[in-house]
Amino acid sequence: MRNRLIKYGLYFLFLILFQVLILNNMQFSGYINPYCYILFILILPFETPGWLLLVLAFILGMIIDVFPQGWMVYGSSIGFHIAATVAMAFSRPVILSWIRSRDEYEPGSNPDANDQGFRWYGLYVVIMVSIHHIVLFFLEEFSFSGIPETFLRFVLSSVFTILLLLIWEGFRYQRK
Amino acid sequence: MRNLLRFIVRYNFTIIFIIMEAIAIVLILSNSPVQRGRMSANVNAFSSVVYKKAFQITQYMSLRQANEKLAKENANLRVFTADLALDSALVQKDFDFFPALVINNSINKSFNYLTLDKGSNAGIETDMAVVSPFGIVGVVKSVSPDFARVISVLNKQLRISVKLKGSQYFGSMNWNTRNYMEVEVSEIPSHVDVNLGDSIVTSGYSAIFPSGELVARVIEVSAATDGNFLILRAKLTNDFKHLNQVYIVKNKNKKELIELEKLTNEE
Repeated sequence: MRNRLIKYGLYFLFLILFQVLILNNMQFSGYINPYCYILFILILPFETPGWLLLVLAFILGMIIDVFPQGWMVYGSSIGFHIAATVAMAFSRPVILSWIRSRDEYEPGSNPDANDQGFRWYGLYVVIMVSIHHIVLFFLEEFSFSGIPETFLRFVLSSVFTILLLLIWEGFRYQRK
Repeated sequence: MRNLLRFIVRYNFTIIFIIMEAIAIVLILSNSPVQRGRMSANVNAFSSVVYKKAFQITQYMSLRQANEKLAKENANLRVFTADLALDSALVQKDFDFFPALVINNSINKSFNYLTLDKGSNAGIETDMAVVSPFGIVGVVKSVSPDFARVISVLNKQLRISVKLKGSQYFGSMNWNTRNYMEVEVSEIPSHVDVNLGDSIVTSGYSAIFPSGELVARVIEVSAATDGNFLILRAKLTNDFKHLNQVYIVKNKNKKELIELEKLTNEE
């Protein structure tokens, strides 16, 4: 239990720092803003209670919101990441049972490529990242620029986030 | 009552979700200018500190590059002082230069801003010019006690009065928003003889920038649609991707100048 706490705590810290110090500062082209911090919600154990999932998503989103997003003026983005991350966490149980029925998951296994296979993980990441990014970019479009541009940003950013997450998982993956 | 409790327990997941989303939406919508100002002051202080720490580390790693740049600037200064000796020292002495470091910067938006590590405590005020050894950077837009927010040259809002070096024809410079290395200069009369590679410098008419600061070099000359003016495409001498050390420029006579101009305009 304690080891687990430490492991997820470190993930939490590392992902936030990686996001605000590196990804937020990347100047790809203005269309690509990868958001890899959501990996934290993806890798939480299957048995995580629903309320905890939502609370963690809320805190995570809020911390990301507090930092300037590069493309926005300072401090004006409070709420966007909370909304997107909480929506993603809310849909997680549904998505998990949708990809594979509940009793097919081995007890004690984790939602990652090592335990569930790369194809399962790939599908999982694609769906979850899309949910997060679509909420995020939709909210943004609601208050900012035009639709085609937002859609392009959504697609490019999603592709990049998914790629980064899969590369990361590739490093962790051990063929059995 | 019991039914209500049972309902809450049963659907706690959905209920928490709805409450959290409601909070998020309220937060987004309640960002009215007043609250935003109040909140962003605190948030800025916090995030600036984190960015500053990160910057201290990256700055250490780029010491070598910084050294090379300093050497280059030194060389340029030598040439400059030599010129000054010939010219007259009168020109620039109305300006004070404060060194500052760039701690946050963006180049990929239509409206780009920078953050500097000097604020009102160091005597920085709004509307001061910001230059680097390689060219102009922008204009201070707002200051907090320890930080300053600067409108970058790469910002559609900013228009700067410029002239061709060696001639007195002046025009107006604006970013073209497509390429972070290129700007557009308009309002240069069409009879002026412009060569590719000519230097574009600040005109000094605005009381913000000192005159003669290098800005860009001409890479393309074309006629404006009305035929009376030229449109110059020019490459910035500053690489905005690698900004580090900059100088904030204070015009000591600005107040006097503005008051005088106002006086004559009123008459």
